Amino acid sequence: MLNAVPLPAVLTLAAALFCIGLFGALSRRNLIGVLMGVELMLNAVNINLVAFWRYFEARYITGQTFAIFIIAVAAAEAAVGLAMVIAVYRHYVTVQADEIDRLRG
Amino acid sequence: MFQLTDIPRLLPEILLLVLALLVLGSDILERWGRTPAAQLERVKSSASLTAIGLGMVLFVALLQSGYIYRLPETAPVNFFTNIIRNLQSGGPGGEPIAGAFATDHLTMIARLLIIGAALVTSLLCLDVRPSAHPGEFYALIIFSTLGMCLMVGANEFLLAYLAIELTSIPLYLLAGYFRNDPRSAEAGLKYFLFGAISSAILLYGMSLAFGAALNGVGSATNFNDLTRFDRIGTFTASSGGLITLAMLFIVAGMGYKLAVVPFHSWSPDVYEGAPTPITAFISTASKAAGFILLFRLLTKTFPAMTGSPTLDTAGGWTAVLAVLALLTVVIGNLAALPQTNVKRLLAYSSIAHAGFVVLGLLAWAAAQPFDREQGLTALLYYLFIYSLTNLGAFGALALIGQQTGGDDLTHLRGLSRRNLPLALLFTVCILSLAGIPPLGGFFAKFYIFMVGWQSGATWLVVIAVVMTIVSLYYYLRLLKAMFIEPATDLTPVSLPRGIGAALAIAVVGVLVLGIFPNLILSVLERV
Amino acid sequence: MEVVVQITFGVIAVFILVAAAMVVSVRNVIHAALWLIACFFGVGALYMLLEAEFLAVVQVLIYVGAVSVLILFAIMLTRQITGEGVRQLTNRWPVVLAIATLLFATVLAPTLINQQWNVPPAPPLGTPEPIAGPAELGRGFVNEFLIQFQVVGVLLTVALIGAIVIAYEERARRRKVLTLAEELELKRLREQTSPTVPAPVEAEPVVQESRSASER
Repeated sequence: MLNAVPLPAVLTLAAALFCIGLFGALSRRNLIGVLMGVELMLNAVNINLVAFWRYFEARYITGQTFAIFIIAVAAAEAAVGLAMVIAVYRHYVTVQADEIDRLRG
Repeated sequence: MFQLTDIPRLLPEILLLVLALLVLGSDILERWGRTPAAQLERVKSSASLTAIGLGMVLFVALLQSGYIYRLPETAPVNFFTNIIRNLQSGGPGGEPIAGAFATDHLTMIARLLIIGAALVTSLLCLDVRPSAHPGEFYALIIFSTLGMCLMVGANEFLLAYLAIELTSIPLYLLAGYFRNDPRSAEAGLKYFLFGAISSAILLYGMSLAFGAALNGVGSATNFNDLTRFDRIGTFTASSGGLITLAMLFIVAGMGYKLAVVPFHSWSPDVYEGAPTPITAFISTASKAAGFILLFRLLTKTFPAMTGSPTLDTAGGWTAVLAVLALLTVVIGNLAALPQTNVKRLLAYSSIAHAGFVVLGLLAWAAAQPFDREQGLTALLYYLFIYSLTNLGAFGALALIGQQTGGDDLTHLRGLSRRNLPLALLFTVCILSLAGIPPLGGFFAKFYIFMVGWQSGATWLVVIAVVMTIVSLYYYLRLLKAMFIEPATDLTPVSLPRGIGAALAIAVVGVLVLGIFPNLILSVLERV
Repeated sequence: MEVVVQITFGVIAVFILVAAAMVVSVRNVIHAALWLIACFFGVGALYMLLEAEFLAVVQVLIYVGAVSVLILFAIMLTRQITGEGVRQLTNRWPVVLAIATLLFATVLAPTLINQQWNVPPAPPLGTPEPIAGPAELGRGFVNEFLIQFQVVGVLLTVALIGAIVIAYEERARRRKVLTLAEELELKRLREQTSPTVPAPVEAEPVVQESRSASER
């Protein structure tokens, strides 16, 4: 792998994924769509970390550990976020972000 | 590596965890009745357990830090002095635990600040309308406090991120806790979405910094502690563009948590919609913890990139922070002027105060190490005063909102006639926020401006002083509503004991620390 | 041999990016969730290629097995019957698209490509490399990363408790799935009484109105 694919290629892939996720998170109207954008961003971070781990320090575990903890926290955050989306849905009967505007601004 | 002797050094955090589980357990394992009186008793039991527990943890943290009382070496060896001796062996000093958690004076002081703020918040919650699941409510407050204590000691990227999440996730839940109120649900959701996006941005910056450190490390032997702040600082000299990018992403991610402009858009909505004691907690403790983490991060991870706040040399995180501080101070104060909802007004004032605190961070660019330490002392002092004041202000607002039914300026009218002590307490907090001598706020602002001046950002200090004068307008508008305008409704407002105690603590703290700042400055200067 | 690796990487990379682009642009949110699952599988395949096999399995188990299922459940529980033909990007999406593209093209890509990477030279193909696997990960969790490990445990507990408390719905208030007319009527009633805190949602159906009388 190291001989064949240069490191910047993998990092650029991660950067592209991050930008796509950022676009999704900031411009989707559906709240669950925003959450999907955030998951894409976190996956991009993980690809970054695993690539750095493999290319530089394949004998040690720092990068992989960081990635595993990020996966765990992302799962917890998704659970909490979706619970709150459901709670909001009960009041507003909608999950489109611009129809949920009881608070000004 | 984690040693067994590191356990006393982590004692406040362990105690907080045990307390949170106790609060949860006491709510679950008891069969509460269905009558309103039984439900009220359920709420009061969780609340008092939390308040007493947090008081005890604060006492243990005080004793451990040794700031008030240090056991002399010649004390007799018996059971009680041995307990204190073991406790104080976990005090400030020593290598970071497992390389990840630093226990220096900064951590000790910040722990006291955070646990104190949590204690005052739990006192404030005593008399606000009881919520549906009180055990989880208070347990979430304690878990968030635990996360903040870990944040202020984090010496390493992974623990910093996990501590940020452990702080933020309970706060998202607490902001959206009152499910019957749609504004609370919306506030919690908005807080969550913005917080999740900012965590992802912060993480991307951290991964780039990690990669830059790996790039520059050459042939070092141990790679396993490369996520420590200081290791990254030593190894990234040769990775120019990448580390600058990492710094920008990290500042952007942390900027969301601290609500500096242009990352502040969630703040007024969340402060308005969340339950008011939770707003008090978010605006004081989590901001303080965030600032201290940002200080550790920036000063240790990017020491070669300090730059200068006078913006003459390109690059440097002080330059970035100077621009952010300028935007925050200007926009935060100007946006507060037209507000009629007091909670939103205080939210914008919190944003502006965060801009002032950033001035303290800029002092790291000064040449002399004495000036750098002054910057940190000014920062901590400002955080203390700001936390006390904001807790008092939001606490009074919680009571007013509950008794008069709303948070607008019209609900504040004639408060002086309805309950004079409450109006006076609120006045002291407002005047301290505005920076009127001889209250704590004046000295805090003065100190921070002085430190900012010495670091070279004179233009920023001038603008900050101008904005402080502008902010007087909206603070005095609150006072005018309370004292001068005729009351629309003359029913007296009662001041229950819990909130009264919390407000009294806050106000007394502000008054005393304003007149005798040396009381805690001598402690803060040890950092 | 190297060409095979390069082709594999190229295929996986294209797959991930196409799936991600689909996630953020398809109209139907269920389709977006399915494309997200595809993207997660692609990232798992990339981890396999990078020889982080344990991480690949963890990725599939947690992201595809738990997070995606959770997202699909949430979509099911927040179904809006009127939400099919609605646009799914906010008004400011061209601005955000421009920002994201600029961020990638002018900031991220040049920095990453022009950086001087001091990658340690890889051993020639065929020699076994001692790459860290689950054994070293486990040792790392209890030696260097012990505090972080415990903190993640606390964090997961907190998330579990909090999510249940927020999403909990008492038996008396459980609603049935609304028809389109009931949903619109409920919205109309909510908007009428919006200055005050609305009453919790009741279970009995409101008066059926004809579709032409709806406001949309």
